[in-house]
Amino acid sequence: MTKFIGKRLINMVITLFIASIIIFTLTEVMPGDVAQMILGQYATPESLEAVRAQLGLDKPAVVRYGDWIWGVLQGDLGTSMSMKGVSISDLLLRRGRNSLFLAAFATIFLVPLSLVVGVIAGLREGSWLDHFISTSSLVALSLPSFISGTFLMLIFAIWLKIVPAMSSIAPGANLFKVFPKLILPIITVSLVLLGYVARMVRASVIDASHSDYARTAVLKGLPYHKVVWHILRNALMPTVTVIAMNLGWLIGGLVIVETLFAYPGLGRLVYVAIQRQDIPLIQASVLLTSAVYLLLNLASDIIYTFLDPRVRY
Amino acid sequence: MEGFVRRIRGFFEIVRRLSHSPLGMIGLVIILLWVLIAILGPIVAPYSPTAYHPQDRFTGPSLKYPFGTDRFGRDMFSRVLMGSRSVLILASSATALSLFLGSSIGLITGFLGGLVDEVVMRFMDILMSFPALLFAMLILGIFGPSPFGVIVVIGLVYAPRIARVARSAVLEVKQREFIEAAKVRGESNLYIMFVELLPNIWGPLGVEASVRFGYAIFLSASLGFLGLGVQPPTPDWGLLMKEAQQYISWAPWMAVFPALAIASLVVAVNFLADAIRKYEAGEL
Amino acid sequence: MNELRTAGDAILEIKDLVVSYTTLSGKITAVRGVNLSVERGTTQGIVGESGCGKSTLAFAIMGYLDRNGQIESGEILLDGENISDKPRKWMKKIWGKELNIVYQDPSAALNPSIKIGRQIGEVLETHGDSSEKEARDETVEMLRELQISDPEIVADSYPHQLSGGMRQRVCLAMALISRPKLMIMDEPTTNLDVTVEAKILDIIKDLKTEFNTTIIYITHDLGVVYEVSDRSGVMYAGQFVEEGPTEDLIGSPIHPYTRGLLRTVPEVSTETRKGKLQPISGSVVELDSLPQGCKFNPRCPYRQEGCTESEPEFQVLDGDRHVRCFEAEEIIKEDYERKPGGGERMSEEKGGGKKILGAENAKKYFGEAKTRLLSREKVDDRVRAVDDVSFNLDEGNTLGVVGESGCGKSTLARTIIGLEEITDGQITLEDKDISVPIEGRDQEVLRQIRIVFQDPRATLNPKRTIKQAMVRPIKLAGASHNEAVNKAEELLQAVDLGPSYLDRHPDQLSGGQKQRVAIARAFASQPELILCDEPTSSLDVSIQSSIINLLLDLQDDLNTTFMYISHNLAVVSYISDYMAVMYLGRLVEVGPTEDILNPPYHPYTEALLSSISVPNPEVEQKRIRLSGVVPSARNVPSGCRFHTRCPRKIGEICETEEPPTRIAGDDAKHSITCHIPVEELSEVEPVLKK
Repeated sequence: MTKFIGKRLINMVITLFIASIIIFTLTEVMPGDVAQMILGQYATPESLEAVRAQLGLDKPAVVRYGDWIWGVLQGDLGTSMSMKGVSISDLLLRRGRNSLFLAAFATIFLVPLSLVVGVIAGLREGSWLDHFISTSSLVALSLPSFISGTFLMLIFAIWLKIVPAMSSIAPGANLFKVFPKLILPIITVSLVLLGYVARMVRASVIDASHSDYARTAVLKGLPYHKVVWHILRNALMPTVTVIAMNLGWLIGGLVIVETLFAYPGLGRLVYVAIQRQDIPLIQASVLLTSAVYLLLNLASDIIYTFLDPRVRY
Repeated sequence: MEGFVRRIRGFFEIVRRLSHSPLGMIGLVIILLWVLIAILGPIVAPYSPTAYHPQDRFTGPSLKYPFGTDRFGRDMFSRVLMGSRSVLILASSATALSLFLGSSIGLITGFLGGLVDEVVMRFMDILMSFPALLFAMLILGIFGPSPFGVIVVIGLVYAPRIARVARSAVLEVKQREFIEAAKVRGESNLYIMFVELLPNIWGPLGVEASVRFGYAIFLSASLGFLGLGVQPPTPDWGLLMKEAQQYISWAPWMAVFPALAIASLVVAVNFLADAIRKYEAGEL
Repeated sequence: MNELRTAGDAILEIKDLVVSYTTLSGKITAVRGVNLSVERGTTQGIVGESGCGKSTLAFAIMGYLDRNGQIESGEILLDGENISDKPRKWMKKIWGKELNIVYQDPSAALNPSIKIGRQIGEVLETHGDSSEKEARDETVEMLRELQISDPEIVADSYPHQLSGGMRQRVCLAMALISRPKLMIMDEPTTNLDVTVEAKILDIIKDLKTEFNTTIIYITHDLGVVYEVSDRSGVMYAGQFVEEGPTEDLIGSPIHPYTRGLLRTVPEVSTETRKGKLQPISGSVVELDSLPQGCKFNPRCPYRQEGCTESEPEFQVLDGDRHVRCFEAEEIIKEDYERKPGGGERMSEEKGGGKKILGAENAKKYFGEAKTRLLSREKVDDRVRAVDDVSFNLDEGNTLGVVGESGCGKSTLARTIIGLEEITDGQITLEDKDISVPIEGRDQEVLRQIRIVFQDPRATLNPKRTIKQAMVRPIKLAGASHNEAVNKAEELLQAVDLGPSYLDRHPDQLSGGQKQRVAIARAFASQPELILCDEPTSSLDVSIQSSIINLLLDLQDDLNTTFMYISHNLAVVSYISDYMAVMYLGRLVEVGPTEDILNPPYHPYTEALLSSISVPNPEVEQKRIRLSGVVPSARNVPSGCRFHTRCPRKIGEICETEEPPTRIAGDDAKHSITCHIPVEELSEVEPVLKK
């Protein structure tokens, strides 16, 4: 078991390393002169040189990559270019906290709900309830977040005025106190996954209930709840992987939702960084999200091995 | 000739079976409707989508402007109708690109196996370890937003996913005995790949392509919304949504109609994709 | 009905049962008026080919048909109570308690993520008031009764940790634990190897005496039914065509279909084959297009005019036998001959042929030997699929290779044809070294060897027409398009398929027809050698025999050399001139078929022969059962590979030293690889005696 986890960890580190090279190379070919961008159009060639030297841009790319990755390993992600002098580590921590809060609540909301809905639909295969759940989950997973978010905003914030439309909050605010502002973003970011996971759960419950072992359970005369347990014991295993893998999707979804609701999270930060071509910030935030994504994958693998007796390492 | 007749008959058979799925048919009709609108374009749109009507800024839906107007007094109805062009072109080209790239990679790596397979699929895994939207944003942020960029980037983002599907289909077909029979009689790899293998993986590839088409609309609209796709003043559904955000509380129609348009298309595509999946799985 | 079989004794009575399925293309009647009465404490066998309705009947009795299935009419009386119209809620009370079922695939029937003990125990907890502890004790006790040596360990295992035979015992235990009134077994041993099957069948036979269980045993295998059941019924097109005491039914069948079935299966016999197999003409009827009158009439050799008009009744004959045939009275007067000599099949020496195929110390290992990074310890856990195999095969002869699953017989064929790269040793074709994979072979060598695979569904490309499939290999051999098409027609003719098949797609063909096309395709390049890898294993017996006849006819005409691989000893012994018995990558015995079937035997051959079920009352069979399971090919036993299971192990030498290969008897072609001297091996009684 430890061997398996160790192997997967090493694998992840290698992947992350290659990812960092890709990110670095991509930002490297970014058009435009950074020094020029900082100093503006009318900078003298001398001052441009000075800034380049200060930023280390005159060094070869390999050296700069080395410097960057060395800094990352020590927790020093450099300073933002567009927000002058702000430490990126601080920025990521602050915004990351906000995003994590959003993502955590979204997960708490969506995982149980999607499981329940998917299991009900799966066990009642072919009923009107199943048709309703299947169709609405298909709709939910189809809609891009900015569409569903807009509808929710129009209905609940602008028309019914139950919740605030915008989610801008002061830095460092107590998130529990401003919770009403988070309701719409949480629901919006959950919807796609809710639909997706519910459908996966449904499909896997149906698969399991058509299996020979489910038939065995029925023909042993077991009471309904025990038969269901026989089914779910197997059907929910693959779901764990699906959920963990797709929590990674939340990261992408957060960009849209945070932009839509003006919520100061990591996703919006990435968006702003890309818009302003803030290279160090882009590098750091994209690397961070990739790391989170990979960690989620790793977690799903590990949980799976605990659940399925057939998988042992 | 005979083969042609058979193919036509096969096509009608598929449509007949698909008609067992009401949702699939609804999806198909909506998609065809949007395609028709996109083709007819200016013939159905009452105004030019970029024509300013300064006297009619921010007017709500009316007979004159069924979907209202925006801040320059442009007719939202015409803009929504004409906006179907960019989304359909972007999404279908991107899907075609990713299908081409993905199935080639999947076919080759799956068939050859060994080290090539290992290295390429490892690389695909790494590409997939970036969330799709983030990857697209990064690339478009670096090379500048453009419709062409959107096509390339979506094509690239989804190619590894299609490659996986193609590869696993190839691996499944490859171990069937007719492939071995072909090897035994000394057929070349190219012959086996294109004559024996490829026709047998169209099914799963078709399902995947239809699903990916839905995702491509999803992603291209999202990129448009972030301002990384089609640039103003061209009407694009995602972009229309972006423009509407500022005025959402007092000109909600600016957001509602493009939102409904995107929703109808993307849901329709997913309905159809689901029907196609059921068809392939033999459930219809 | 006979007086002996009064209603009071019958635990199950089925009256005029009709079951149908609703499908997209209309209603299909799968069971069409079945009457059956099963006496308490007996075993009732039900035999039939695929699609005859035997499984539908089983699930109708259970009251658990598929969603689209329904009982149209008739009654099912369990202990006098009609259960055919009971709702599920009511059935729940007797499922698992009075009425149980065991089905074919034990690995699918058990829940993969729940421990065995739990799965069995919960039956007791549900139906009795046993506590968890009591249930557990009883479970362990039941496992012990089914000859599981470590019942506690098994109870704490998950299904994937057990072997196939063990899983089926667990299923039996699960069904038996509540001492049900009636147990239905639907092909419970079909997926098991013969030596394992034999042991499970022994257990099933014992159930009767130990638990006084009533069993309905469903199978396609006449031999198995003969082995386990007191009475048997033969089903055809959703009806019983014949029913009666098993001895009579197998020994002197009356219905033309029963007779046909018994004649169509090859039988292991110490005498070599005489005459051809007798396939039943035509193919199994489709339930949606049943013929007028007697449903068997299109295939029946006794057909009279009346047979096509009305359906015969199920009439009582001879006191205790039921037959559905107008001609029964006439047929019964005829003397029944098991294997009437038809067209002569030579069994004479086909000597003088040149050597076609040779293997010398051929080895195929999978995986790689590794050296541990830290301890520098060498680990060789390669799978030794084929390990040091040598034999010669002369022109026009057939070498049959038998062995249980995983013994390496398929790998051997794949290595010969070059689909696998040989690890070590040499393979020669007409004395030319061909120990290279396909990529390294020239066109001429490729042309000379062909293979026919097992699965008819996978053997033809579903996207290509029969014409495309046939023409391609002929063209590759250098023919023009027109020549190739003509040749393809000729070849199809040779396998009894008309030219109209050329434009069809594989999905328009039945399994047997696909296999015929595959055979025609194999012959297209006029090969010297054809490898047959279980070509009839997934076909019904009546089709199997016609395929075997076809192969033999083609061999007679073209003097082609065959290597025929199968787990089915009867088929192999029928078709082969020479046989090789394979165990764990090694050939333990090689020789002319007659010598293999008679002493001296290798102990493994002896056990195999005694494990098969022979549907023939005239044959007496010695009973030898193997213990344990086949060891992993990754980690083969030292010394003789068979020593872990050998009933005739002579001592330490078997564990430590590789056994010698000795010439057995006077025939230099017969060799046995065993430590026991040949003289001693010769002293045993033959396994099969008339």
